Amino acid sequence: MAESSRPPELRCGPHAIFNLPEEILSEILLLLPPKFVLRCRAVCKAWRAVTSDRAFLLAHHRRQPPRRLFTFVRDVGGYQDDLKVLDYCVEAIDFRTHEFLSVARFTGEDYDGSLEDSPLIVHAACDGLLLMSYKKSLHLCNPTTRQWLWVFPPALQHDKVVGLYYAHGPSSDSEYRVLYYREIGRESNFYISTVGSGNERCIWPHSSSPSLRKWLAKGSKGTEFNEPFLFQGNLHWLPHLGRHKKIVMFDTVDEVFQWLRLPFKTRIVASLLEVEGMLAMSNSYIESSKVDLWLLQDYKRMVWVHKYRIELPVIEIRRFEEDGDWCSHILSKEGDVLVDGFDWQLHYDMKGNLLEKFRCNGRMMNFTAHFHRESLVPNAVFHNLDNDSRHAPHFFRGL
Amino acid sequence: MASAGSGDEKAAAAAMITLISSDNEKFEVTEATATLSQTIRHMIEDGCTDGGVPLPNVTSKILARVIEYCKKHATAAAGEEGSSSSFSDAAFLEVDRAFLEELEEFDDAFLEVDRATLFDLILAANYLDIKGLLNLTCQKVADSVKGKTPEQIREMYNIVNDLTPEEEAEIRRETQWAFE
Repeated sequence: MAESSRPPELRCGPHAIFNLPEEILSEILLLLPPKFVLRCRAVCKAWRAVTSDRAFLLAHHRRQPPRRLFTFVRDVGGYQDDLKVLDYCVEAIDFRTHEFLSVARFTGEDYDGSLEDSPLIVHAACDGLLLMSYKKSLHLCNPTTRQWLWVFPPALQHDKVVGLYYAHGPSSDSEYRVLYYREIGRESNFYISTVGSGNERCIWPHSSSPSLRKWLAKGSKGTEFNEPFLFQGNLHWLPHLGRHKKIVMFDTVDEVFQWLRLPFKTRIVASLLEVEGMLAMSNSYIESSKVDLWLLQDYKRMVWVHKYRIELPVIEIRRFEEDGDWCSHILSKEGDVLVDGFDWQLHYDMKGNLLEKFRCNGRMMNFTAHFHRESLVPNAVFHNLDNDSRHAPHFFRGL
Repeated sequence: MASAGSGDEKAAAAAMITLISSDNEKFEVTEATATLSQTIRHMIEDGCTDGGVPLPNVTSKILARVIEYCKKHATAAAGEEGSSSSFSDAAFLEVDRAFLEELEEFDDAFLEVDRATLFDLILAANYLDIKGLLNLTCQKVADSVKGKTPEQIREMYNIVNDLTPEEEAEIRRETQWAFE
């Protein structure tokens, strides 16, 4: 570079980086991935100040791409005696760049359960935090800062987590709350627990709608909550198995469930997303060539509009997925489509052009409905932790 | 050399604006080119561009480069307006890919400058409020920092480490994995 040949006194002239106004330095450092933002703290005092500022970190969080989370199992190797060691991995993909991010990894022994019995479950994602459980212990963690804590209650031996959300607590502090249900006999009750409090409270009545109360009372066999979708602070679930003309919503302020009526039927392959600040739904069948995008244009009046339909090249997809059983989901307003198959994951654009294909180098790949947006924003939930739990736990090791 | 653009006739054919650099050089550009700068756009809206727009913070060397950028991107903006940009319309995907590639090549070549010029371009983009140029130039600096150790960053940009050894050790301990 030209500068390095100049004498040092000239190199520190008006063109030095520290002579840039602070807002420009901030603009530059905002463009760095989280890991390198953390490194910049060790450069000098000015850089530490910029990269530790809460407003900077919030802006940085908002700029991170939403990444879709998925889990899979990888064989690490075997001991003798046929005992195999497996990694249960959580990764995230940015569909704009097809870059993968390792989020967490639990190492365990082999097991022969089915997919439903996987010891690793990602329950929810919110503000860069993940609620995940491994072998029935529940953790809230920020994989970007590697902070984490145990969450209890719920007790996963008998409780089923259905959502995580952010709420304003009784003091001005905000807090994260877990919503879950517990089945005792033929009844199921819903509980809310503030993360870190160790307390829980039952919510009843949990809905003013008799039909919804009936649905919620059925317990896990009938209710089968899908993965939660957090939109404008409230939780939303698609009913299982499709063919419904409504979805379920939990109002996190009033703490009641409500039906949201639809002018169309949900199909068996449906997912929720956010498009231009609106709640949206991708709706399709198994192995269907068509995926529809619906937008909830007016949340109060429940006005849904059909935005577009994407046609996929079925013959091409069948070449990858000979055994069939693939599902298509719209991922963005631009019409990116994920074709989630048994062998391959295919990324199509709105016109049915294949943009990228990938397969995971493990097995039992499971795309969750959760989006993860990395965040370095300090979170009160991780304060007051003892030193042991502030340090990186085993599930971030080696990432 | 740095006067009116040749490809800009379609947009705002008649309106020309004179920009005056800190060393008093005059540059005549179309309004479409000049209004990529929000600062100049506001001046035009306020009707205070008669007799030229003095830009006391920008040298002629840098202004010539900035105008080169604006001309190229003003043509691009004009092209985009012609087609529909509504996402419901599949036509937006048809926006000339070749042209976008050409624009990317232009940007890459545009950034082939020494560090002093790069910083001057950043300052000019900030002062003139040209969002695209500011993003482009800041990204170039960010890319140079990415993947470097704090020592390498200090070395590259002549930054004096004013952290005490204890402070630096504490930062590294807090997020040790980020330094590995």
